[in-house]
Amino acid sequence: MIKKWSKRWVNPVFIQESQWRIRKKTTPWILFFHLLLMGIIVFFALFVFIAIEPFFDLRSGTNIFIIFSYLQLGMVVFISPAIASGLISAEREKQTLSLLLVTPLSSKQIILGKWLSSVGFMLLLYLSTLPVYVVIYNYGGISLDQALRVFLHLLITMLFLSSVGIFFSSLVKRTGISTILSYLVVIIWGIVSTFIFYLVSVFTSVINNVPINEIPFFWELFISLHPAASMAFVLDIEIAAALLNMHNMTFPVYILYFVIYTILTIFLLISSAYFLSPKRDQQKE
Amino acid sequence: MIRIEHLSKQYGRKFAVKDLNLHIEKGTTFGLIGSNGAGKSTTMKILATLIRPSSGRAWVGGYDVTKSGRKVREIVGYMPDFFGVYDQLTSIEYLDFYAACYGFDYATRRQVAMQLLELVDLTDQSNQPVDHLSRGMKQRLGLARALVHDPAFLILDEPASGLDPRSRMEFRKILKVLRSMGKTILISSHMLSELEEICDAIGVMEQGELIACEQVDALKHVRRSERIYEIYVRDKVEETVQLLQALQEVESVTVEERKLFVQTKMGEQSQDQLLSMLVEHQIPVLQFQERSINMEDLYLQVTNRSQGGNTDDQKVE
Repeated sequence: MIKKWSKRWVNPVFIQESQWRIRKKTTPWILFFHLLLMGIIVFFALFVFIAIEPFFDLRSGTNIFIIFSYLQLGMVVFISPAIASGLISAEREKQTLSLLLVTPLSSKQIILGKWLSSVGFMLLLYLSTLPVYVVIYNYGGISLDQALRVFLHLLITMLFLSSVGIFFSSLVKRTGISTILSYLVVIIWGIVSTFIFYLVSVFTSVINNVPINEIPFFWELFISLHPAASMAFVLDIEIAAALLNMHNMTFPVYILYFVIYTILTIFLLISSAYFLSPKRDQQKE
Repeated sequence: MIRIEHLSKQYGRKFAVKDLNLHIEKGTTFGLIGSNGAGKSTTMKILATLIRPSSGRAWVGGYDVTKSGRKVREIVGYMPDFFGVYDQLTSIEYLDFYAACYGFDYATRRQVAMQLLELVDLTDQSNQPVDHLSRGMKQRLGLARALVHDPAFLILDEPASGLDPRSRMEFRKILKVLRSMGKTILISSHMLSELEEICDAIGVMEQGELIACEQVDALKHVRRSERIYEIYVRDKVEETVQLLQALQEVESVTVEERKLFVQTKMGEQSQDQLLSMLVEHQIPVLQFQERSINMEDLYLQVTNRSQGGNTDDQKVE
């Protein structure tokens, strides 16, 4: 029974890729410097709050948690595409892809194994910062479900950006181009969308002669798909809460973020498997 | 059995493989020769389910390569002309990984990996990182990888390319073992001489088409019965040619200045008779020697003679 289960679910590509990542000499150093960087920033913020406020209250704990959550989000946004964008193209460059494709493993299994290994490494980076979380949690101001929501948000973002990386990696032959395309998506997603949102807000307020914060509900939903904005909803930051109150919304908007990006992730993974499949042979002898 | 019917692969307007028909019986070692871009690798990639044909069909072990890709991959071991290795793995881990891809459990994987390393004579390299192996060793490891699931069919795309003579010899030895195990092998090379020792039959591809196909035994028979003599004369070249052409056993005479190449069916014992005849006619022979027959020349000569260019549905048993 167990044998049958393991044969069906154990993905050799995932195991091999994960082993390789863990074995790399640079991995412990990456984890160490990641924790160090996060620790320095968070402890610096902590000392600033202590210096400003005569008494360390719960709000300071919340603020540090918010800073730390955004730091983690930044880490996910910048590192995930870099890790995932070479997963397939590097195999092509190393001329090992055809050897994988002639095994009975399907394109879906190969994509899933590679993708999960990159997500696994991101999770490892995330888990390496647990000591910082413990320190922040000790200062209070954060509920457990809030911390879990933040984790879920980061996980969904990781899954999505890794799928973006692997999608371009299976679409184009060169890792360099795949990485550029992945970051281009991140830039459009993170910066250009914010700029568009701002322009639309100004334009709408001028046309309708209303204050800038009274923009159409549709555009508010649009901005909730932005990682930083949806993180604000997840953290229940005042401005996000105010927006929800303005429209008498009880529905947590970040759910939209979770659903949309889960769907997009699945779509990108299926597309990646499609482009990897030998049926899509584009390469000439 | 490998069966190919009217197989074509087109890239834009260019045919990489054009209307290929071939039938390779079980247990046969079939060699494909041809220059770069002749279509050998494309044909092999189609059979290994890596690319889809534009038209035509192909079956390996009775399974259609386009419809039953997974089944084909389970019974085929494929080794491409160029392949990379995972440099972070040791030889045994490398084979272990591919065995895992075929669904073997850990104990079986280790056992299979050790047996294969022994077969390709890499047991002492089992814990060496793959990246540290020489080219010859990597090729042998690549062959071991193709054998990890004990496939009935082996598709080897120029497996000995870039190897030194010693490594080539070692590689041939392994292939002979595999042949004796009853595996059906399709192997390609640029050089016919490389394949004649291990193949039962050989096909020549040119510009995507199979232009000739012949049993190796037939070639060897011709080589045994035919000889080429190289005769160097001081003068009387035309007279010598006329004398030689008058002989029934002489098939052709080629002249290069004062050097004559005489292709004949005469046995070894008649060499002296030929020389005596020339001396009797006062031909000033400066040099007289037998030249080894070039396998490539002989091959094309035999195939042209027996088939006259018709290569439809070549069957090799």
